[in-house]
Amino acid sequence: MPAAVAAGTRPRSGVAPPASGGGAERNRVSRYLLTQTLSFVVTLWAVLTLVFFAVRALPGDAATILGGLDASQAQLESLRGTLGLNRSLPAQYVDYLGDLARADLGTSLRERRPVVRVLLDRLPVTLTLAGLAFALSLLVGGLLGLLAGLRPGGPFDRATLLFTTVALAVPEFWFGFLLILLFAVNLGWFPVIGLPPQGLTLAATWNLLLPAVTLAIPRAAQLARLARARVLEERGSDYVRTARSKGLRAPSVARHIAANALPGVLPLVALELGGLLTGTIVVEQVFGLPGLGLTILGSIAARDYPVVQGVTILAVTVYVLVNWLADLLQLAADPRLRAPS
Amino acid sequence: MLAVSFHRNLRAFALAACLATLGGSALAQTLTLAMSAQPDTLDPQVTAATAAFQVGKSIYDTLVEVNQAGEIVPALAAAYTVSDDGLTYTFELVETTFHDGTPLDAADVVATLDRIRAPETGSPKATEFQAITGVTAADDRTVVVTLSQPAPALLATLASGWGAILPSEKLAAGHDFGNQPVGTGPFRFQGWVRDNAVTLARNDAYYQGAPALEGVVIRFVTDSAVQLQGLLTGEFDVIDTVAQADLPTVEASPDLELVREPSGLVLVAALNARRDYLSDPRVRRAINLAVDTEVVMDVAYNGGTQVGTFMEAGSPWYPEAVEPFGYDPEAARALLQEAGVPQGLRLDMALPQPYEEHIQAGQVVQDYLRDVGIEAEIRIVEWGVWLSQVYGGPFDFDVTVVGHTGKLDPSGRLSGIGDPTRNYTGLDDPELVELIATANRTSDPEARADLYERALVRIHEQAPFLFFGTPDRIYARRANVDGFWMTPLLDSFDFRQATLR
Amino acid sequence: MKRVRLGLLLFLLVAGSALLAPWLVRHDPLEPDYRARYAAPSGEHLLGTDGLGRDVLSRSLAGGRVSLLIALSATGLTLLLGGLLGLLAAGVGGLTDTALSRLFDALLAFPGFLLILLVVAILGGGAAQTVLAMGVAGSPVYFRLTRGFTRSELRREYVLAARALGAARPRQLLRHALPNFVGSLGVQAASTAATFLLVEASLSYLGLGVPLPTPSWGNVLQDARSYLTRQPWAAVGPGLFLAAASLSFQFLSDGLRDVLDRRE
Repeated sequence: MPAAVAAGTRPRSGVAPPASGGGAERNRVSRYLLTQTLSFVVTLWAVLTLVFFAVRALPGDAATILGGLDASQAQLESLRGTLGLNRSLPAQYVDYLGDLARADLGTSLRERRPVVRVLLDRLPVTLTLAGLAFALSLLVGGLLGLLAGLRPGGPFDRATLLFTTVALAVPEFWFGFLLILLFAVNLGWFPVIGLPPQGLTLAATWNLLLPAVTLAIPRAAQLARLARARVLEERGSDYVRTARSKGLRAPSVARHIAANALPGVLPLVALELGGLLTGTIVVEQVFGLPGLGLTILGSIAARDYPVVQGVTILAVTVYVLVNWLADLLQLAADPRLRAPS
Repeated sequence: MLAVSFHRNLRAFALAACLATLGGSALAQTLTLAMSAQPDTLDPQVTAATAAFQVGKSIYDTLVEVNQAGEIVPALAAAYTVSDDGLTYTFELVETTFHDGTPLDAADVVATLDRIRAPETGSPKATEFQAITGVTAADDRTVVVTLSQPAPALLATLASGWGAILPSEKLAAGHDFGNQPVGTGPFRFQGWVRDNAVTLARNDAYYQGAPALEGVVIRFVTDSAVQLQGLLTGEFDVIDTVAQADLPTVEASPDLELVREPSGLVLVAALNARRDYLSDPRVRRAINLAVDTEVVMDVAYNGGTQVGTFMEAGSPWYPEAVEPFGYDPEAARALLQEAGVPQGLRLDMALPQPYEEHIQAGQVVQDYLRDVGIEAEIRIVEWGVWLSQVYGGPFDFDVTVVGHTGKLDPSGRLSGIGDPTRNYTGLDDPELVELIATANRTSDPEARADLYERALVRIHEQAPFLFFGTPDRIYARRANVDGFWMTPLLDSFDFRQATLR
Repeated sequence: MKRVRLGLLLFLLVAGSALLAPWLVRHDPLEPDYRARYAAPSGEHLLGTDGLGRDVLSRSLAGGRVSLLIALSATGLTLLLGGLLGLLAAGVGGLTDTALSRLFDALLAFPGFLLILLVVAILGGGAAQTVLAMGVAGSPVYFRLTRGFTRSELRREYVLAARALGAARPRQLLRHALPNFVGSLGVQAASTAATFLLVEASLSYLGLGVPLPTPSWGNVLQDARSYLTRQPWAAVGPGLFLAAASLSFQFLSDGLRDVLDRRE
C-alpha cells in the first residue's frame, strides 16, 4: 500500500535519454549517467539535511529515553556528553557530512555500534522479504493481468476483478492478521512470530512466506490491473489483428502481446520494488520481523538520529537506483523509445 | 492372540518411551519467554530501563539479591557486615568465575562500582551510589565500601539490576557490555538479534548450582495478541502480558495458567501544582474524591488494590493510617466550590503513547471529572516527548497518567517529591523534602520507618497525585512450566529454578 | 458510467451514514458504560461494545466522519499543493520551474510511507498532522501531472491563438489549459483518496494515527485488534465501512477513467 501512495504515475529521476546508434549513443548514455548521478547527490543531500534537522526537532533525545523516570538533570547532561549530543547543531551537521564523505554513517546512540553494522544486520531480512514479495506480486499480478486481459468479460476476468477490488480496499496488515490466524494459529504451518531466535537462516526463509504474501496481495492487484489494461490495448492493435488473420495460434499471439505490454508495466514494477524497502514497515510490525522497518520505528522512538539518517540514505538510494534501472530496462525492452527523434 | 497383542503393546510402549526421551532432550530444556518491552542495551550501567534488568538478571549477579519473599539476601557476597555508625560496609565474596573464565575477585567489585559512579559513564542510576566515598579491596575476597553518611538504601541499590558486577579485565579493556554482556549469572549470553530474541545458555559453573534448563530464549513480542497465540500454539512457554479481553481465554484453557500476584507499581495521575487551581491542595484532594479509582483500576489495569499515598499497596512501608480517598463526588464538588474553582474548568491531560492502559485510564478520569464540572482535554504524546516535555523540562501538562515502577527502598520511590525543581508534580513543600532527606540517612530502622510514615501521610494530605493503586502483575505460562518466578518489586525474570515438565 | 454511479452511490451511503450518525444510533460514540464492557452484539448494541463499554457501531460511524474528512482533506491538499505549484512551474517556467522541479524530485526520491511516518512522528499524531503528512507525500505526483499537462496544453494551437488575441497568461492557464485535464486529475484524486484511507488505518495500527478517544476507522479497527480473539465481530463494522469507502473511491476513479477514455 505504501507504494500506492505515489502509484499511478511514474516517478522519474530524469528524462530518458533519446539515443541513436554507435558512439553518439554511448556518449549520450554516459552523459545521462553523469547528470543522473549529480542529481542523485543533490537529492540525497537535500533529503539528508531535511532528515537531519527534522529528527532533531523532535522533543527529547536519546539521553532522555535512556534516562527514563529516574535520571536527574545532571545525569542527563553527562549522558549527553557521552553520546556527543551536547555540541551545537551546526557543528554536529558539519561533522556528520564530513563523516559521510568518508563513507562513515556514524555510531548508533541506542546500540552503541556502527550504523553500518546495524543496517547490515537488518538488511538481509528486509531484502529477502521484499524480494520474495516482489517475485510473488510480479508472478501473480502479471499472470492474472495477462490471462484476464486475453479474455475480457470471461469468468477468469471477473474473478481477477473481484480479487483486485478487495485487495485494494482492505488495509494490507489485515490480510496479515488473517493469514496468521489461518496458517499459523489454526493450521500450525508457520510460527506465529516471524523468525527463529537466531534470526534469518536459510531454513527460516520459509517463515517469510506469509509476510511476503501479505505484502504481495495489494501489489499484485495493482500490477494485475495495469497489465490487464495494457494487454487490452495491445489486443486491439493492428499487429495482433494481422497475426490473428494470418492464423497464428493463440499462445503465440499471447506471447507477442505479453512482450509488447511489458514496457508499459515496467514503471509500476520499478516503483513497487523501490518502495518495498520501506513498504515492509507495517508488515514487519505485524509479523515481528527484525528488519529495517522495525529499526526505523525503534530508532525514531529512541531518538537514535544516526540510524534514522542511515536508513533514510539507504532507502532513498535504493529507490533512486531502482528507478534508473527501470529507465534503462524500459529502453532495452521498447525499441520504439530508442528511435532517433 | 495374546502374544500378538502383547507384542503390539510392547511396540507401542517402546515407541512412547522413545518419543518421551526425544521430547525430553530436544524440547523440554529450553524455555521461551515472550516479553513486550525490549532492552536498548544490556550494559546495566548506562540505562534505567526495566527491560534491560529483566533480561540482565539471568546474565549478571549482584552482591546481594531479593528473594521470593522480597527480602534482601546474600548473593555474590556470601556475607556482609555493616559498621555501627552505618558508614562502612564489608562484603565477603563467594568463589566463582565469570563467563569468560576469569575468577571473581574484589578488584572486579571495585572496578564495577568505580565505573557506575564515574560521570563519563552516564549512568542514570548514579545518584543512588552518591553516598559512597570509596570502594577498596581489603584482600582478594573482601571489599570495603565507605560512605559519607549513613545510606540504609545502599543494600537495595546493590540488589537491583544496576548493581550487577562486571569483570574488571573487560572493563579496563573497554569491552562492549551493551552488545556482548559477560557476567557470573546462571546463564551465559549467546546472541541477541534486536527486535527478535536474546538467546541464553546454561552456565554450568554457576555458583548456586547450574540451573535445570539448558537454555532460555527471550523473545520480543510487542503485540499481546501474538503473545497469546504463541502461548496457545506452544511456541512460548511464558508470556509477560495478557490483554484484559484475553483473560477468560487463558483461564479457560487447561494448558495455560494465569499468574496473578502483587506488583510493585504505583499508578497515578500527577497533578501539576504549578498551575492555577491545582496549586491548591483542596482542589487536588477534590480530584481524588471525584474519580472512582476502583473503576479506573478495573477498566484500565485489569484490577488491583487502591492506594491513598505514593507507596505500593502491600508494602511494609505503606502507612496503616492512610486509606484510599474513596469515591465521593458530592464532597468533591463542595471542595471545588470552597476553593473557588469555576464550573467547566479546562485541564490539559497529557497521556503517554504507546501505553494503552494509561490512555484508557485517562479516558475514565476524563469521564469522572466531567461529572464534577472539570473538562479534561486529552492530548496524546509520544513517550520521548512525554519524558522531555511533561515529565521533565517545561512540565507542560495539568494532569498526566503514568506508572512508577517498584523500588526496593522507599528512598528511591520518594526521591524529589516536594521539590518542584526535581519533581514533575511541582509540589513545593520544604518540610516534606526535609522529612524524606532525614529518613534517607537514618540508620535506626524504627526511626526510619516512622519518618517515612510521616512523609507518606503528608503526601496523602498534599495529594500531588490522583492516586489510582497498585495493579496485579499478570502473566501467563503453559501448565508444564514450574519454578519460574519474577522478582518482587523489580519484576526481573528468574529462570534459575525453572523446569519444563 | 455504471461504475461512476455505483461509486457515487456507495460513497453517499457510507458518507451519509457517517454524517447522519447522531440521528441513526442511540449511543454517544464517546460515552463509556463500565457495566457493559466487551458486550456481544445485541439489540441495544448492534456491533457490541469496546473495552470502555462504548458502542462500536456508533464509534464506527463517527470514525467515518474523521477518516473521510482526513482522506478527503489530504487529497484536497495534495491536489492544491501539487496542482497549483505545477501550474506555476509550467506557466512561469525558467528558474521557478527548475527550482520547483528539483524540490519535487527530492520529495519523489523519498519513499511515500517513510515520508509520512517521519512527518507524523515529528509533528505528533493527530488529524491535522496526518492530513499534512499525506498531503505533502502525495503532492509530487500531482505536480508532475499538472506541470506536464500544462506545458503541452500551452503549446497547443488554441492557446497560441488566444495568446495572439491578447489573453493574459494566468487567464490562459485557468480558462483554457486547466479544464482540459481536470478530468485526469479527478481520476487520480479518487484513487489517491482510496489510498489515504488505508494509510490512515496503517498509521493507527502503528500508533501514529488519530489519537483516542476521537474515533477513526483506523483506530477503532486497531482497538478491535486488541480483543480480536474474543470478539471478532468488533472488527467487522469499521472494517466493512473502511472497505466500502475505499471501494467507492476506486469505482469513481475507474469509472471516470473509462468515461474520459471513451470521450477521447
